[in-house]
Amino acid sequence: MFRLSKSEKFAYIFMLPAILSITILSIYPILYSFWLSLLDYVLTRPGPYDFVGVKNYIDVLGSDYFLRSFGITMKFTFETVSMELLIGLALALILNEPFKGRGVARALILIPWAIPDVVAGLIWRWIFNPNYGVLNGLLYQFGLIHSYISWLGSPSTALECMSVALIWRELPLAAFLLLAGLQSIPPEMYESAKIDGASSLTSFIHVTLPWLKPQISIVLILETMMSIRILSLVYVMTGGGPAGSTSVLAYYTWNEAFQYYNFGVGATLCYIIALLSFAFALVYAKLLSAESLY
Amino acid sequence: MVIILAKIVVRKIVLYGALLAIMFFLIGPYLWVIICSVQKEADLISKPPHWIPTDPTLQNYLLVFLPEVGKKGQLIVSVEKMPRGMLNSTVVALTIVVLNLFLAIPAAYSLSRFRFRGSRTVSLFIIATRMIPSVAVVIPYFIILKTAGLLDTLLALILPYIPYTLPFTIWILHGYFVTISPDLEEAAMIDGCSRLGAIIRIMIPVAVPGLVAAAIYAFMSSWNEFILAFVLTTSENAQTMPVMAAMIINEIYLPFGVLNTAAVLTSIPPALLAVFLQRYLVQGLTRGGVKF
Repeated sequence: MFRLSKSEKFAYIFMLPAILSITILSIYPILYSFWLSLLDYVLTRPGPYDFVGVKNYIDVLGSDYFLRSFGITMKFTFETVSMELLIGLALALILNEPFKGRGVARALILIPWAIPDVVAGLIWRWIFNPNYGVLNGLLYQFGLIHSYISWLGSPSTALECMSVALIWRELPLAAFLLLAGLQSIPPEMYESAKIDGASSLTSFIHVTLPWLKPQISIVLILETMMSIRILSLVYVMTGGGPAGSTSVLAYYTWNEAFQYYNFGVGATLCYIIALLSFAFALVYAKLLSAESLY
Repeated sequence: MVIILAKIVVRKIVLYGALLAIMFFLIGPYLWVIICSVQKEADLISKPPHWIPTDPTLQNYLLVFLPEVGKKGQLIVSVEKMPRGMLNSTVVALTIVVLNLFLAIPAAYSLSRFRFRGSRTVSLFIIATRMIPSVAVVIPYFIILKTAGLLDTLLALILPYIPYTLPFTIWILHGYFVTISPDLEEAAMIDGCSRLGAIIRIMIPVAVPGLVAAAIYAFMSSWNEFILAFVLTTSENAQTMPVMAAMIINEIYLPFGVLNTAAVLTSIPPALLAVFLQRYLVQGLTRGGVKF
């Protein structure tokens, strides 16, 4: 037996309440969920439920629904994350410049990220409204369209509308994380680049971007997880429609679990989504070779 | 000289132009919803849209808070429950704030001050639990709480919100505590203060900005959460504002003004926190770089 020093004892006692509550309230449900994913658990049928092993996983991975919603999720994730990173970087660069009203701008910009995602969905649902929506009104008044368009009602535009709503909501977080990185760049680095005759573009590529690597990987990881798990916006804006064109993985999961009460398949899909986001996190970490991700 | 001046001017124009465009995109939609919430229904369904409210009204807000006065023959059940929803949301969010601080302060303190056996594992454990999607725990929670007879109670929300918020508040506080020098506490301890006394009297007062950041984060996360609340509650006994706001879309004859009012009421507390306490929140989110 090793002996605990006095400060170690203190540290363990202090850690204990937090660790215990996370374990009981989070780890236990997660393990229970894994057990559920191995059962033929349909709530509307009386138990006990049969143990079917990995059958749910095989069924789900082989189904057309899964492949389709996987494809939609990947497209959605690519669109949103790339735009959040690009516009977020632009916004961070702007906010890093001194200008009048910068404090007010920074405070107001945070609103979309701070409000519930359900409200973000309601706001954009109203903006995209086919009959009274402000987007139609604007485009019509400027003569860009000749009749109102049903943005959320047509399979070719519904997913893009959802992308816009999510980009709107996540942009502030991306920008502020990147801004924190920009502010930590020592000014000497730019000065020495200037002495070497670098233009502002080359110093951006050779000084700013490499320095921002950790922040970029954080933004990529956080926002990818957000996009892969997107559910509230879908529920409020489109309900998976039209014609299943916005039925992303999390919505498919939702349907299985709480429309058909097929908890076994629902739990299976949850595990697949979680593994998918971990896989992305690992790939980003490798690609950007960030030494230590928090 | 002229060229340099022209360069500066062009740079300014590009900068402000881009800033205005992004600000319009980020602020416009929320502003529009606020405007719509005080417009008359007839103005909301006009083509083209009625940009500036010439005849603002508080009718929609009356419908929510004083249905007897506000309602003129129409019945909107989902809206009349909203004051109760605001109460539920407030109680849950404030409880989560208090629980978070009680659990996170000692945990973050331990992680930032001691190198103990397993401290690395503990930080990794906390980071990993942060990655758990709430959609992954909603099914087991539903079964567990149903078995315990706790569905549709505030406790059914408070229990899952603890692990939903705690890993991140620990991370925020840890990021803050490591920037505070341990010298102060050590000096107090040499003067005969116990470690606990030193934490309460020395550490906590210095760490107030970090505590504020953690508290706002915990409040916002639990106020905003939708998926767990949607599954684990079924009536106004425990339904929170996001659930009520989402369910409003199922109401068939819902006036657009009421929809916008619901959106404003659901989002106003976190929006105000973000605007007025932005400094703390951003500091908390980004402090300590990206390393744990």
